[in-house]
Amino acid sequence: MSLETPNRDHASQSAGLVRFGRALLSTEILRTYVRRNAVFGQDATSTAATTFGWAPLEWLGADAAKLWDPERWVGSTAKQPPFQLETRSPSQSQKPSPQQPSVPELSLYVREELRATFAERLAKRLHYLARISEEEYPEQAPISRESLEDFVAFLKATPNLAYPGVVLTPSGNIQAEWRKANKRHLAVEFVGNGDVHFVVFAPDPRKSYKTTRASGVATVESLMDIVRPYGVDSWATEATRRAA
Amino acid sequence: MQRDRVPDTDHISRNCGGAQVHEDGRISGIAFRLRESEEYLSVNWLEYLGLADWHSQIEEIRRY
Repeated sequence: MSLETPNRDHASQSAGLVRFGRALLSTEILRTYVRRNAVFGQDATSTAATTFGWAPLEWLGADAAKLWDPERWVGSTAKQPPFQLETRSPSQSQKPSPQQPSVPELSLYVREELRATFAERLAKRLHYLARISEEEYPEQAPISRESLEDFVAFLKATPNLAYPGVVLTPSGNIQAEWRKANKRHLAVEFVGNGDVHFVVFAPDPRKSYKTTRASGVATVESLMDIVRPYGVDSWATEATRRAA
Repeated sequence: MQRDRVPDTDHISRNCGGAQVHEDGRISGIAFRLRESEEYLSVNWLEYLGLADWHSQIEEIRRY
C-alpha cells in the first residue's frame, strides 16, 4: 500500500478508518467498488445492462439464466460485443457548467416532482449536499442536474421505496443506498444519460450464510427488474422497513 | 514513507469529503474511490505517528 504524508484538512471532512484483517468499515464494499472500477472505469457509461458478480454456480444456472437470457445475446453478438463503453473524461465532469442547479432549484425540484413521504427530508439532504459541494469545490463537484433528474425519475417510478441514504461522488453524481445489514445492501450511482451503476449484496438464496455480490450497469427504467431477483424488495421498501 | 508496507495489525485513515458521509455518520464506499487528482489511494498510517490512541492520531493528522 502506498502512503503519503498527512495533507491539509477541511472542517467538514471526516476520517474513515480501516483496520486490516478485521474491517471497521465494510472492506467488502471497497473490494466491490475496486473490482467494478477496474472493469468499467470510474466514469464509464454503457448502452446496455451488464452485470459482474459472485454467486454459486447452481444459482447462476437457474434464476440468472432466466434474467439475462444468455442464449439470445450470445447469438446476437457473434460479431459485436453485447455492450459499448464510452469513457467520459473526468476533467469534463468536474467543470462547473451553467446547467448546474442552484440550491433553491434543487429543493423546489424534489418537493414538486416527488410525492414520496420523504420528499421534504430528501430535499433537505440535497440542500445540505449542495452546500457541502460548494464548500469543498473543486475537490467536490456540484450536484449533477442529469444525475438528479434520473434519481427523481427513478423514485417516482418506484414509489414504494424507503428513504435512501444519499451521498455524492466526487464528480457530483448522486449515489443512493438502501442498507439493512452487511448482507442486504443496494447502492446505485446515477451517472446521467439514463444510466446507473449499481452494486447489490444479498444473502445467497441457497446458502443463506453466504453473501452474493453483484454489480453492473443498467438503465434507470430496468434497474429494479434487474436487482429484484436478489430480494431487494425485502429490505428496500417502505412496507418492509415499517414491518422491521 | 511512500511505498512502505503497513503491518496488518496497524491502521490507516483517509480524509473523506463531507458529501461522502451519510446522515448517520457512516462513510460511503465512494470515499475510497480514487479522486481525479490521485494516482493511488491516499491514506495516512496512524501508528507511524507514534501517538497513544486513535483520537490523538486523528487530531494530529487534522492539524496538517
